[in-house]
Amino acid sequence: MKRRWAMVIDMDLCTGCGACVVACVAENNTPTVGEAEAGKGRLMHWIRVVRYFRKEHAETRAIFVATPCMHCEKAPCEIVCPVYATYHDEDDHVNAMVYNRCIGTRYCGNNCPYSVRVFNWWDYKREKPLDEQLNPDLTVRSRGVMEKCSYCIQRIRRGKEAALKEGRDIRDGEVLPACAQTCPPGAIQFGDLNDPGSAVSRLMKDPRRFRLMEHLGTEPSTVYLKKLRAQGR
Amino acid sequence: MKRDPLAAIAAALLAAALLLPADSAAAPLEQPIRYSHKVHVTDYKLDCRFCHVNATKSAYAGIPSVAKCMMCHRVIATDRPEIRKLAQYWKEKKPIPWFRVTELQEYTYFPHFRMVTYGKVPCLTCHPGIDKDDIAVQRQEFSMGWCLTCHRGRGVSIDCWTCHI
Repeated sequence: MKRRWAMVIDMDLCTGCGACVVACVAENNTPTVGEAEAGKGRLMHWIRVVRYFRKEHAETRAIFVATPCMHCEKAPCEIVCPVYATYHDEDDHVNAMVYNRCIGTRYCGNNCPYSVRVFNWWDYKREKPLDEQLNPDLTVRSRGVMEKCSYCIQRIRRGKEAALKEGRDIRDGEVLPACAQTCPPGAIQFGDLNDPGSAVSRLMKDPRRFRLMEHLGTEPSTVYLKKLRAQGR
Repeated sequence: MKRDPLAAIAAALLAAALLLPADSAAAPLEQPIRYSHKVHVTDYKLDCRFCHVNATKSAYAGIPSVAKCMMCHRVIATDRPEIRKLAQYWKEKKPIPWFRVTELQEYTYFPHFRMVTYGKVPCLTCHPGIDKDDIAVQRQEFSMGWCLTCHRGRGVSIDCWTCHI
């Protein structure tokens, strides 16, 4: 069965705590690069919380934009890969990345308007006993390979397997990426757009909905709900 | 007709090379116990899934526990030296340190239950000849082309992310 996974991030609920970033690092075996590498802009996080500050009268307000991969329907990264290491998964309608096919040209990262793709500049070693916390469900990437948010494809597959074993369809809210599962205010919603009753299908009709850099025509699957503004908030 | 003896030898060697199973089977491993798949599967007609129970419900087929072996070997063939070794592990409450025979590249996800329970793929498709082995060896090299031949033939997913994430 074809699915169209989508994510809705409610900026009104997001407090910018960064729990999604931590959860993602733990779930997806994302390496910790260290201070020197981070200074060169080589952070490996698959989701980051971008802060914007707005001065309003006497106070400064912060707006947080959690930015995972947008999983664009018309992805700029896919068309530039010379070896088809990144392609559109037709079963799940997500932007897939195959690590063992990647030769590290970094074209995809350059062509991504959202800058969500990260590159393994080195083989990042995990000191003992930290190597034992690695998630066995997905590959530990090596040096010279591009990587990015996969909407926790390993969890999607677990959900499919559970549904297959019980001979039923995947329930809405059964499959959650690590960021959505951990978000304390529940700002991240995840689900299947092909299911008209799912939470994301309903939120897609919300008047607050917008997409990042919509003018580029990338048709992102990750959409945002605008921050509400009222007196004193 | 007189035949060149050298040519005869060459022909014999060629025939031998062709007749031998065209495989790249690795040298048999010296396991802690000389367990024979042949005795259990071919001679006594045990189902693979009797011991590898998890193959039907988990990604990993798994190796049976000592308790599973002792289910039968508490009474069967208890005087054989290899079974004595098994009983020793049982007595010491220690797992048997088997060596892994069949290796799959670690960037590949292969859910056994999907093939066994839902695909109805016989075990011997991927583990050919293991039922005739006194010492288990891996005969089939798990190359992607080989996997894809079967996947295409059955019309199942050949999406990259099906196996590589």
